Amino acid sequence: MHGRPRPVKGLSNDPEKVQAAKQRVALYSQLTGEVLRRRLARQYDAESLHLAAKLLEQNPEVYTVWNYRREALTPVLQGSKGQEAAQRAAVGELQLTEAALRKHIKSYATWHHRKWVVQKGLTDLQEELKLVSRLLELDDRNFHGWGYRQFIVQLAGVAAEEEDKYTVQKIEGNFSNYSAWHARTALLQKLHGTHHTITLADLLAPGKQNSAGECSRGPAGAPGPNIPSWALDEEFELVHQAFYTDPADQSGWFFHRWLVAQAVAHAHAPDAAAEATQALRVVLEREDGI
Amino acid sequence: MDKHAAYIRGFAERTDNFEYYATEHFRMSGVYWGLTALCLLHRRDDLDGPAIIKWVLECQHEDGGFGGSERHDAHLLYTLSAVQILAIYNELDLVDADKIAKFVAGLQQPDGSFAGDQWGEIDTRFSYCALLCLSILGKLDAIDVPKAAEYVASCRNFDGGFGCTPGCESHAGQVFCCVGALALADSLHLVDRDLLCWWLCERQTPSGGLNGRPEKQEDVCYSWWCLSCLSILERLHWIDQAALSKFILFCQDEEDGGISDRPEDMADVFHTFFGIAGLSLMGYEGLEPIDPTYALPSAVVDRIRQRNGAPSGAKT
Repeated sequence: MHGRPRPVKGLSNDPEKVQAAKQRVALYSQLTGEVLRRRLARQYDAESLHLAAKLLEQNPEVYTVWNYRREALTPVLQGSKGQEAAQRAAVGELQLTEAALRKHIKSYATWHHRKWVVQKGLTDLQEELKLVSRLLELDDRNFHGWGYRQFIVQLAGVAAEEEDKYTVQKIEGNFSNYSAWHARTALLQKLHGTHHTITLADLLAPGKQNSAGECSRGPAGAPGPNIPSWALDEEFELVHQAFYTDPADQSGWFFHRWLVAQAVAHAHAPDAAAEATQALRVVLEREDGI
Repeated sequence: MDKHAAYIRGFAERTDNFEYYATEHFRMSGVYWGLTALCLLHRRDDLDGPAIIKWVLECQHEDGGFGGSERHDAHLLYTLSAVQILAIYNELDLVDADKIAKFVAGLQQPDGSFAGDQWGEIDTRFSYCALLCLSILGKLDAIDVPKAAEYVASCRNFDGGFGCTPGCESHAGQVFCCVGALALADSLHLVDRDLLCWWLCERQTPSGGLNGRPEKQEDVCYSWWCLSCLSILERLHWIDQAALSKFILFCQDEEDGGISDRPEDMADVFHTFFGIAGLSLMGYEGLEPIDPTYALPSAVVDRIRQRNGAPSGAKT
């Protein structure tokens, strides 16, 4: 339970409110009982699914009821009742999950159900991309939304260059959007096929290229090629804009540290690290002057 | 402390409100949070142990997994909570460990990740649940541990933190699951300690409380998620503990007991547990110590280790 203000003590005795609360409890528990009873009886008719949907719209985290829908709909989505019925079922699940997300945007169970439906291959992925873009306009730090976007981008085969533009646009719209900075680090590695991390010990010991502990290797094992200097320059430019806008915001600084590590990784271009340090000095001096 | 214990007892006893019904599907975790908080307050026996144990056993399914309550499907999240509750009561002998281990092992994927249940949701939260559940049962050999650690490491991000799946943003709750999982898999060398702990200690806001991601609001639950990681990685001193303790104490409902996410919000069992657990990690006077990896009282963890034949007090 997050962000719900503490009720004023002693106000809970209003008989009308007590009655309304009792009624709400009775209705909800009756609906739950009915849905779970029908599930046990393996009733997969339209009325049962309608009741299940009503329950999920009120409480999207009841995972067992999503399981119920999946049990009932798996054959239908596979075409047991024809292509049209499959299409209709897929659209129905998309509508239901959208309604459930409006109720509870952070519902893991609902996001999972939507992915499950989309994986059946009956969904217009471009529409999904538009939908998740709209969501990220309303809540640009929603990590479920970003994760879902990544899932759709992969499924639809959207070019990394397209997502590149999208993340820059999100960052320029809000330099404090850490989610978008994060997405950029993943994208840049994808675009240039690389990953370098660097430990604090590496930074403190110049001369030593990389401590080469396991943790300084990328997830895929050995580091790939470096991100080219011209690309790094563009990123430094972007992050400097963030510093000028709000030097106290953490988002850009975490990105900057990673960027410096990428610059240091240029074994044959030690100047890159010096350039990065110089750029940082300029920013710090400027901040001092503010 | 009396008020917090009474608040948790009251939550367990009140069955006439909407929350009781709306939370039915995750009651197993609710009981684990409430019970562990009571243990930390030295009041384990405030709840009816035999009744809880009987109820936990009723929630087990044929496949070995446990549901969030009697009427709900088996899931890794609640299987872990059930096993934790049984461990607290020292009643692990009541269940067939091999059967539970088979359920857990059946959820491991070829890439080392874990699904939450048969419906295939993949998330590093479930890697932690699987590794901890099997560690408690002494059945880690039922799964491919190095592969599990490798998957968790593949979720590591540019900031040293971890996300739900590869490429997903770091989040303190998720970082807890991944660091915990790697600790249990004896693979903490896959963590960049200084980088991650820098990110974690930057979660402290001017209020003293911790947030879960950069530029987000502070919340009592991160007192557990962040602090447990800092403790596992031996960097607890990197945050201002006095300021954090003050923030947690500020979130108490001084009249009715319980702790909320932020000052003046409504208390709940989840935040009551994480607030008390955070205070326990910081050595708050009068509280039982909690183990940062197992999320159980340290005394329970010592007993588990003895049961499984490992030396007591071994480092996780």
